[in-house]
Amino acid sequence: MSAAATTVDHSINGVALTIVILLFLLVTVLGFLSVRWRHTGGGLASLDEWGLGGRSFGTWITWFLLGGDLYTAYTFVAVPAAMFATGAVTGFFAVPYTIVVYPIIFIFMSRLWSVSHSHGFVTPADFVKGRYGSRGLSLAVAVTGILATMPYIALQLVGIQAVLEVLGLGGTGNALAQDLPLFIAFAVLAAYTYSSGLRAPAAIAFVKDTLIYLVILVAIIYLPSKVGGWHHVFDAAGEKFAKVNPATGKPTGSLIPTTAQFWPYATLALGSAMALFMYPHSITAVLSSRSRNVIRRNASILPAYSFLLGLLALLGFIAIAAGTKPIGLDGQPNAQLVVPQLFEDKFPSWFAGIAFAAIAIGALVPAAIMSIAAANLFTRNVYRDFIRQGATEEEEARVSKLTSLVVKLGALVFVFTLDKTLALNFQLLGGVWILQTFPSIVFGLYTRWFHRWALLGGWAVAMVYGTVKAYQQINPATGKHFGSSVGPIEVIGQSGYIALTAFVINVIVAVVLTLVLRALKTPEGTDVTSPEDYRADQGDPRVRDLPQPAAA
Amino acid sequence: MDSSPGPRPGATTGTSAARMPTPQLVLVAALIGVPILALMWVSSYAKHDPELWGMPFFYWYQFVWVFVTAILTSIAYRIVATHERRRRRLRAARPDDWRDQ
Repeated sequence: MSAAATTVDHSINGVALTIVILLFLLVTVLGFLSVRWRHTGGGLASLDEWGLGGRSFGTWITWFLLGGDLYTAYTFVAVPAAMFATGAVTGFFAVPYTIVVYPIIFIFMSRLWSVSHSHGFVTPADFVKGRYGSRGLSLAVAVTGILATMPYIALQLVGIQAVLEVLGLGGTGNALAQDLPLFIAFAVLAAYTYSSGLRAPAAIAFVKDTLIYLVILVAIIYLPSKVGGWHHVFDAAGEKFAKVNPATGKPTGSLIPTTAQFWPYATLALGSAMALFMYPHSITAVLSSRSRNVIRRNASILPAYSFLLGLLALLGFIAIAAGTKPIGLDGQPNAQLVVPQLFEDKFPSWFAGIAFAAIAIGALVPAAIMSIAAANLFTRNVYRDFIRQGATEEEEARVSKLTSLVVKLGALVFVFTLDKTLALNFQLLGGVWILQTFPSIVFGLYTRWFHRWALLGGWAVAMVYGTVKAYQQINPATGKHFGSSVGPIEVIGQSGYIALTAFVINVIVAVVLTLVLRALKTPEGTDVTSPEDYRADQGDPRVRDLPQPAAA
Repeated sequence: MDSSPGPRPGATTGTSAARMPTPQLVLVAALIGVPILALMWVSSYAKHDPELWGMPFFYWYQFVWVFVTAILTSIAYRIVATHERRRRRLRAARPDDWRDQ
């Protein structure tokens, strides 16, 4: 165990900081230049151009974009932190989660792509409105999406903050100086997202993913030998988790799930996987692809990122073996700092700098896509449907660009003024909420059997149930609400992911209400889609507005 | 229409399933469904032994599934893509049937 691991040094690391700043400048230039990339002419004066990158991305760009989008800085910070703190159930479930997500999207995403291209849908709520002829149901989907996305953007800031803290920036001095680096980073991000739209994160994703792959592979090859091999790593983790936590009277964590943890582990993985592609930013990245098969091809190459995430999770255990002490600038232990601290302790400054830059840039890509997705939802499903019907394409693009600024500003204010645990609680709730749009979107891709108001009823019941259940979970160590996303499952007497329990209730309510509403012959609304829309592909006469690549 | 009314979206594969021959449909469903079932069956892999390079079974087993799932999904893609190409060719040969489904 090295001396560096046991003392906490919070002076500014000059070499690492310089590298972070240089790489940040590089992606800033890329972000602004990307406005010209794959340009189709006519400026970015429509949501197809600004908000979906011209709907022109092929397999590899989509792979980088989705990878940069789904595997966020928060993931890179939080998953190893959870592994470090309590082990497999709270952390490693991310691996089965990101494995089963791809078979799931393989099933339905190409249908969503086809119907969206046939009708020019930009958001999932657009599809819901077209399918069910219900602005109310569409509004519910849009608002859920925006609510779930906002805290997610705020958590990207938490990821950047973790890096800045370990670098020795922030924390000291007055409030302005403390938050200035984060503020600058976000202002720059807002500026190039405004000018380049989805092309900016798509271009930056190349840099981000290259850096992440490089850093993780080096770390996973180099670090285990340095701390005594994998055997020792797992032994150290097992030893830590076996100790009884005085606050709860139970073991600190688990190296391998016990019988009572099988259900939580499986339901967390399945529920998170079903929820992931309901998030607006995931759907935005899918709809920006050029043909319906791009997403299915990606379902078999995106697992490369899942492998990476698994390795990254194990860094949490390596940090246990290495005796990493993640202590914040306020002197309090903070597990979120564990990965940056591990790099700072174990690597030369220049490599730590690359790792920090990878995490920080890793926050910018998803934050940009999330703000674009939330802005598109607001523009299409709130502004155009309720405030100014008949808005032109130019107007939509203008409103969306402005909204993306507001969304990012909101996230900044959120992180600066409110307790960080609030962002975490909302993120937990966001996962519970977003899964409740699954029936309207995914079932809707296959059948019009469900009644629009039954779907709305199921959604409403599940939203309330999920929120109440999440609130009721008390953290035994701190005594605070929202202590866990796992709670008792009704009827079957096991513990499980609250989002999934709420989802089952959602479906049951929707089925019962559909039967009732049909018996009462309540109007079902107009469906503008037809069966062949769900199979349309690039080049079909029904797929409209497919831009040709410039000067091809 | 390739879906019968009913709350079971998993019943078709999300492709042009109505026209896909049953054996292929079953195969695609299995290729897609097996990884999901295998990973949901936590009790089958929540154990320490056998270790691999010092890594408990629980961990390396799930890493193996990353690769297995990627391979199974790409086979499913090939089957579905081949089928869609054929359907497209057939339709091009009979343009009057554009709206036949």
